[in-house]
Amino acid sequence: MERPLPDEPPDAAARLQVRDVTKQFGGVRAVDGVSFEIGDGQVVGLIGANGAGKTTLLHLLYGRHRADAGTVVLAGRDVTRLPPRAHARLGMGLVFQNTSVFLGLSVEENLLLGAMPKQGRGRPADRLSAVEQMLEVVDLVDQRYVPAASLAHGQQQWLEIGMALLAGPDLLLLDEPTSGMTRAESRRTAELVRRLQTDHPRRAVVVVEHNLEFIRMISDRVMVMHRGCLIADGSIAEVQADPAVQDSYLGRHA
Amino acid sequence: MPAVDPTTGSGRSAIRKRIADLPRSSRRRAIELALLALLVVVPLVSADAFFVDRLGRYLLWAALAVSLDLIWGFGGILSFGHAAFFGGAGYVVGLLTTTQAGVLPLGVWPAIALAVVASAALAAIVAGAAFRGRTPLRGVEFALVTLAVAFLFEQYARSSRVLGGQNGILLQGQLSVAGWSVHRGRGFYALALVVLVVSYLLCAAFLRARSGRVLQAVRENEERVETLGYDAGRVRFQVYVLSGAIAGAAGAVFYVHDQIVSPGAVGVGASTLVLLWVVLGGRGTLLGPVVATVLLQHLTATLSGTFLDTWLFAVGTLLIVAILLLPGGLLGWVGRGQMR
Amino acid sequence: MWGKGTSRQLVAAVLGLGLLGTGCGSGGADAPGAADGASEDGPIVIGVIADLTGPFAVYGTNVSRNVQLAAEEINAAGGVDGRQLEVIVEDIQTDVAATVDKSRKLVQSDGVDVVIGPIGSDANDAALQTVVTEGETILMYPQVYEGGKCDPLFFHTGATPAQQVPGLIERLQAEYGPKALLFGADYVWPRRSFEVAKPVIEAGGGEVVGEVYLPLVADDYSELISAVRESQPDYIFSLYPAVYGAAVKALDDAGLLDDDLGMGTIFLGEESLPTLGDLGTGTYTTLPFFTDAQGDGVDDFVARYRAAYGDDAVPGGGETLGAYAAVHLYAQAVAAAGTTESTAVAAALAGQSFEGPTGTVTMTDSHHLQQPIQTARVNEDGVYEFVEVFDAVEPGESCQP
Repeated sequence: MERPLPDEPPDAAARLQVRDVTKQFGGVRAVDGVSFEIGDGQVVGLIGANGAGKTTLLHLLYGRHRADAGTVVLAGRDVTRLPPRAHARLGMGLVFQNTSVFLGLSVEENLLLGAMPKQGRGRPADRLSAVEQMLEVVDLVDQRYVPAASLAHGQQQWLEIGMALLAGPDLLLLDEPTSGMTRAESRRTAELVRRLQTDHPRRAVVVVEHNLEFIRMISDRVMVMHRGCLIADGSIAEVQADPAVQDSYLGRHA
Repeated sequence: MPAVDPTTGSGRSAIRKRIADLPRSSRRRAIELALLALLVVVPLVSADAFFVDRLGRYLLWAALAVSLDLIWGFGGILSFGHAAFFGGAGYVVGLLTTTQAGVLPLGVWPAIALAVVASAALAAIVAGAAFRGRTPLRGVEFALVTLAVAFLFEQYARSSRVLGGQNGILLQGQLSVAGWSVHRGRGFYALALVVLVVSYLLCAAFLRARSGRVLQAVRENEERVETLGYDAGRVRFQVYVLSGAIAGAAGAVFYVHDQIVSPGAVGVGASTLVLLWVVLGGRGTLLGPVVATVLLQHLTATLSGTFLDTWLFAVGTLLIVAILLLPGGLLGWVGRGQMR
Repeated sequence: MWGKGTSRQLVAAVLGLGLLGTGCGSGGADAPGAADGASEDGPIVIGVIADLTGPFAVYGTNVSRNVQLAAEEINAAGGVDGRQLEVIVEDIQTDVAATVDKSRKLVQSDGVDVVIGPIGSDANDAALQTVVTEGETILMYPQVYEGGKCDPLFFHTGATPAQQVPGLIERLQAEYGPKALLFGADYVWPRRSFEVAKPVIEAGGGEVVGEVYLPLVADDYSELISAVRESQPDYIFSLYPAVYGAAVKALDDAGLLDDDLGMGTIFLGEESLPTLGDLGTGTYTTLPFFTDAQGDGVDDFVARYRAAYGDDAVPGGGETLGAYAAVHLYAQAVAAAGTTESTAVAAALAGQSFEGPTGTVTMTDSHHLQQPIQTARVNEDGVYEFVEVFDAVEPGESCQP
């Protein structure tokens, strides 16, 4: 499928460079020749209908699946064939849609896992204070010793964001962070996501979402996927005006 | 410190709330100390040296159970062959201390040390192949591999001339520390208690450390742990080697005390018993298996004297009742406790 | 699932204390720790280490029963110098670690004067350590075994390869022919027995056409089957104690069992014959005892045994006379020595003779038993039938006093 090429030449210093990645399952191309770049400090939304390939693309980005073709370059390193832990060590953070905090562990233990430096350096006292600070940020101070299983869904999502943040990621991927949230919770989440980036200007954030309202609250750039292809990549206004997008995606969702 | 306000309510209900709000670590600490106190006091008040000696054996078995709970209760790694480390260490010590012309080729303690190393090495080989290879084994696959290894080990022990075949090996040498005999009675008990306590502390320390925390998360959601940047295979490897070393240490001392090791010491039957101790005591509690091992082994030893024909049924019935009433194990309510 | 919180803890505590309670009760804080036995006036205590559970349960039970039968007889006749015999039986579960534990208990905690049992030679090795070396107490081993164990306080009342093998080989050769195939489990007892067998076979003009060793518990008998096919033996001499029935069935399935192929064993007591079913018919054995054995006291002995343990009770094979005679020999030795002190009794045991059901048995200076050995053949009813007897067979062991 055709999609408009970006005007700028590839940025050698881009945090994430995705080139022509393709993934096939059986006879179906879940991701078909997708290319884009995310630079430092950018907040980008990725939208598309169910089955458009967003989830598969995400899996390719963090290394859960290996692309059949194409490359994924993170922080200048080719991570296409590397396992997820390599991605994490290169500064990629993840917040999943289906909450994947560790239900049997306490809130504090969950956060500690995010805080422990990957290379084994750093002092326990530093880690603990970082955790304590994060408890404030995600508003879970009272639930410090509580098993994550007893948190409300929204709290679990926040815990997960907290965990991802403690690792200090340069690129944060959020997969449908507002699913199951009320409007009020979504708004708070949008604030949090904005802060994530403004507190760390170099940090890039990619948010995969259904909820265009949410994207509007947080980002200036949005990518649209449809049937495995990236059919639009630009500002919200540009994308909304794009006839291809209107035909395939927005039209159905209007 | 708990971020809970304890000043609501008054009198009894306040105290109850206070206790309930204590972080689990305090509750756990209290139970640990109570158990330790019990284990220290019993040999002091008992006049029967044989009973104390027997208790020492149970404590070494308990250390084996703790080592299995470490990998199974906390790491989710099921092993049907854990007795192989315990009995295997016995064989190693036996081989190293076999007399020729009445002279020990190797002293008892060096032999025990080498046996621990051998156990750790065996664990490293198994775990390396299983957890760090190109295609790491999943839970059920690994369990079956351990089953096969244990089975083959026993078969080999039964037919090997080197290992004494059916009859096994007689161990020479006596346990002593700085001139004090710790080979029988209270001395041996003290040694066994030290082995158990050190094993327990090692496990607790591991679980508190980075690898231990990662391991507990791996048990729940391995994929998520990997996306946080950790290597699940590596922590599995580490915990398995630690577990093998502990089991080997306990086994080496056990068989020097028993002075004979035979094929029944390794193999599937022996390993299954260890699983039973852990299940009965409570997986993931570290303390439960200690209690369950001591109780079950003592029960087995004494009931068979009292109910000559029916003791097997009696023990079996008690086991079933216990597991039905307390599916989480005897000490399941202690829980993991916070390993802080 | 039951209630939560405190009620669960309560149940756990009650259960735990209950278990510990039953245990501690017999932990015996008041039991004597001394190893040289009870006082000179009290009962003479016999400790029995018997496999009451596990694969050897059938044999261990026989040991236990025969010891108790003998003890009751002696007590009924007035005891030993007026002292009664007391028997303490412990189950060693066909497990070496349990043997270590129970034998130590008997010696250290119960202070027994003598230990009788076990069945397996691995358990015997363990008991030699705990009872003889550590406990300085007499151990009497009542089962057939490979021989070769010597100690001043160790006495064997079973049968040795030198006793069982020659008569069996002679009979098999006479009935079936000179070509012998030796089939055994891969450990010391079969190997040593075959070492005894080979010169006997050759001296009698026979020939060993095959020698097959399999693991004690095997699931694949193809090695045995192909050996039988290739070498065409006249008879198979087997020492495969754990799962002999499976091996025989495998031969039968391969169509190799027929009336021309002789089968001989030395371990198959009559209590194990039912496991063979029809396949056992025609099997020869040489044992110290079986129900149809010849001897003035046999019928009476069997009757008394069945009166005590039921009409279907089978007195047993290798270990029966061994356990029964051990008690009588020991009692006689204590009477002769005038004490239960171990070295004195041991000295008195050597040379003791006892009139058993099958005739005179004598404890030799080598601490093994000279005794009648009888050949039997399994008849169509699946029971051992007497064939011939060899009187006063020497054990052929070379232990120096």
